[in-house]
Amino acid sequence: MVAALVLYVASKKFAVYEDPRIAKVAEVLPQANCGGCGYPGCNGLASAIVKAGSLEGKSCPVGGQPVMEKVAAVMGLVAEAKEPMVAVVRCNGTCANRLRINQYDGVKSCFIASSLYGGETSCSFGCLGYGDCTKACKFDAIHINPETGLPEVDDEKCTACGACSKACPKGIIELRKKGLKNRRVFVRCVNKDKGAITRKACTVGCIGCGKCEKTCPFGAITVTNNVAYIDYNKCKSCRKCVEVCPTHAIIDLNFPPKPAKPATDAVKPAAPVAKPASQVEADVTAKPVAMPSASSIAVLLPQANCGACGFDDCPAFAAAIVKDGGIGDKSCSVGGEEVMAKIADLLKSAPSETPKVPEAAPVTEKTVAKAAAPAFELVNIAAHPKVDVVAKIAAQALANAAKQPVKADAAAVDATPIVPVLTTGLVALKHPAKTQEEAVAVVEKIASTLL
Amino acid sequence: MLKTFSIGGVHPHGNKLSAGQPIVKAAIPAKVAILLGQHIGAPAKPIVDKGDVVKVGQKIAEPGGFVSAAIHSSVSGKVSKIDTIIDASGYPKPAIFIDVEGDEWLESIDRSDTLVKECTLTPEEINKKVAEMGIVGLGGACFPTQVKLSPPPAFKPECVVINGAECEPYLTADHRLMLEHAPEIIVGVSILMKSMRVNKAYIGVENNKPDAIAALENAAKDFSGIEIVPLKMKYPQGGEKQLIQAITNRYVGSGALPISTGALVQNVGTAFAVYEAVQKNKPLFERVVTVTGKSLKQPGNFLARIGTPVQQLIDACGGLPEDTGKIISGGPMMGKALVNTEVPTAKGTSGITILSQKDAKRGEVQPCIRCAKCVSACPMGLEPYLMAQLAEHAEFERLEKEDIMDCLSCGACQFTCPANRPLLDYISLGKAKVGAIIRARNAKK
Repeated sequence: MVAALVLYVASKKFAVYEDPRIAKVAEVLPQANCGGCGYPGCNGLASAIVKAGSLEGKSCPVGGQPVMEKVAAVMGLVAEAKEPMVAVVRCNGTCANRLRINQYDGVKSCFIASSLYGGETSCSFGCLGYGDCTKACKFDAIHINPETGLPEVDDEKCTACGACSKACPKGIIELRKKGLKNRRVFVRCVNKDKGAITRKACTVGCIGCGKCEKTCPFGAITVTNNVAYIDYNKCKSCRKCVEVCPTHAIIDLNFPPKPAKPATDAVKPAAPVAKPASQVEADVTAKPVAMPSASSIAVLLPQANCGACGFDDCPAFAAAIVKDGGIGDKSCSVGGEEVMAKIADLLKSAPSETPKVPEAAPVTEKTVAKAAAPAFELVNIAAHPKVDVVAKIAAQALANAAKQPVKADAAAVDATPIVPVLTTGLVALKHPAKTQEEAVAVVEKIASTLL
Repeated sequence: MLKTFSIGGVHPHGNKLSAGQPIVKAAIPAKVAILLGQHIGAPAKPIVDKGDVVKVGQKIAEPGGFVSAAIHSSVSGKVSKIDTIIDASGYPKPAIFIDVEGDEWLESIDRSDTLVKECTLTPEEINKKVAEMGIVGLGGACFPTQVKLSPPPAFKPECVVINGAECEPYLTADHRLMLEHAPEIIVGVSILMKSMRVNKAYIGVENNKPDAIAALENAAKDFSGIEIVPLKMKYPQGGEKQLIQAITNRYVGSGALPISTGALVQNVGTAFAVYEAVQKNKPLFERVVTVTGKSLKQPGNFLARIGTPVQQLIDACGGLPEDTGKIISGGPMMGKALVNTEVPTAKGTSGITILSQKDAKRGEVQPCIRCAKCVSACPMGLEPYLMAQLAEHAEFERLEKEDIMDCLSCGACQFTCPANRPLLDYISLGKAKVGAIIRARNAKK
């Protein structure tokens, strides 16, 4: 009885006044306590809203607009409409696109691995794949796909709370506008290395060529530090950048498949190459100056076909050099001085008699190894058991680059994607310790599609 | 009884395979890449441009701040570019690339072998010289030496403690240096004593190197105040706090600077570099690197120019063995695994350890059985099993209270764990997170 009295007095005396609206606001909040709003849990957000007396700068990423409208009703305010957001993973370095060059056997945590070193691939910016984002997600919305080794976001479950973005030590995950019908266009790469380095590390990396920046009619794309970024507030989803991106680093999600285009369009990417090749022949016969073939110059180029040099693609650039009889004021912004120096060397060392265009004489494996040496360092892998396969592929690639056996059907193999893949294969072969088997597998895979 | 530190410690197998191999000069590479961030602190700022012709010993980068160090060219030739290169961390870092032409040294460098005992410089002049010559602590941390030689005025230095313990398995660079250059090291120590205005110095050497102890004792006869202290073998004896405790029996408090005990610790390699800088005018552009491994044909010790690719040093030992599992910059306990062999050597590269696939593989992780072996092994008296668990569950506030920042990442806990638990992985995670929390709090204040 005495105790009850004491308790009664104490409860009256030490009662803390709490604004009843806090409880009411908290009631309509989802009580996920995720912290996505930036406050410690739902109660934290509720008291902040009540204290400030306005909804400015406050939002519940989980509940979204409907919940904020309810909160506004409780507070007697008007909720401003907000565009729904979603987490977007900006790395496409799947096992196939990005070769592993070493093995990490420490604790499977992105934070620990990234504090130790750059990662298992040559790309030190890309996804590590140990799933810190998955662990951070309270809504079961992000999972590592075991096939690609990359996280995938479930658009339906994602509340854009930003927890995964904060957990990612590489800063790959970004919150972007969800877009109409979940349709989004974004650059799936954050690699800040120079184009040539990115290219070696990953087949789908952004090389910073700037083609998208020039193409975008809305000024939504900026290239800084060798990587393009699309401003989602300016982007109108016209997808022109997706078409021009030479490395397919720009991704369009959830768009309906494009209507099948006539055959002429399918051949289009290869067509310009065919023309210069014939030009070269005409050129060679016209003036017997000591010039290497356009294809031998073309293999030195990064094969990004970005067009930043002012020509249609890399073979066209090479053909122009042959046509003008020198480099002149041409330059390759992706390959940089290194590549231009190699071309200059090639021009200097051109044999005195007119070289034959590869298609005229069947390319032997030896000549290929010779011609490709400066670009791919075939010499280094000469002792490799699969070197004959590699040489064959190189031969095919060179022949393709020169004569363009474009077939009307979709199975036509054009040289453009081959050379980069080939480069990757060869790069992989240069790391004999761990990736021998992987590299051989890649090379064989290329071989089987080619030969 | 031999001295050693009192808390914790482990006894990994020495594996000093290259102890009998004299230091040989490594061939000068055709190209070098000299990193701008070879030390703790701000990276150096390059003062040369593409196309500049440099000589051996010429300064090519200025210190980028108070805690930073100058960098000198290790070769003569032409600067080909200033670009990034993948360093031991696996991340691209800025470096100066030089194409080597000949081997032309700066004329100011004294290249003779004569021992110069007398040092006429004042302590201030010594510090200036040490800074100018780009000397950093060669024990591994690469802390700029001139910063360490000018401690805050609140501390009164009483003695110099020289670390010749070389407790890291496999490595023999310091051992060979003590054997072959004992007189120079002793002069270097006397210069450090003069710089700190103290008249007592101890050189701690583990008793597995009796020949080095004898060589140093012989060389120290003519100098007063330099004492060689044989130490009982135990890892991590070379840790600054452990060495101070082993030799002077003073403890460095949690979070305190080692100089608070009155002892200034330097490595034998640093003492040698200080000798060369002050008496011979030679900047720090080459160092002894041990290249070792059980499957390596001829493990050896090389005097290599900074910027030499690791591959070249491995080739000098008969090439990379077929069963290579891991190539480590440093020793197996605290070293860092390399992602490729084109990584250039830096001021802190004390060794290249090549582990076989069998040795490199981690054992299967099993549950903690609370045996407390890690607690007995921890030289800082911490509880590694607890810290690892707290880090795993993101209890960073608790971790700070458990004094995680005292951990020196020596790896003794993980080495001794019978369940192969990745203790150090989680502790480094905790250290990084707690460190960030503390920095954020200090920035707020």
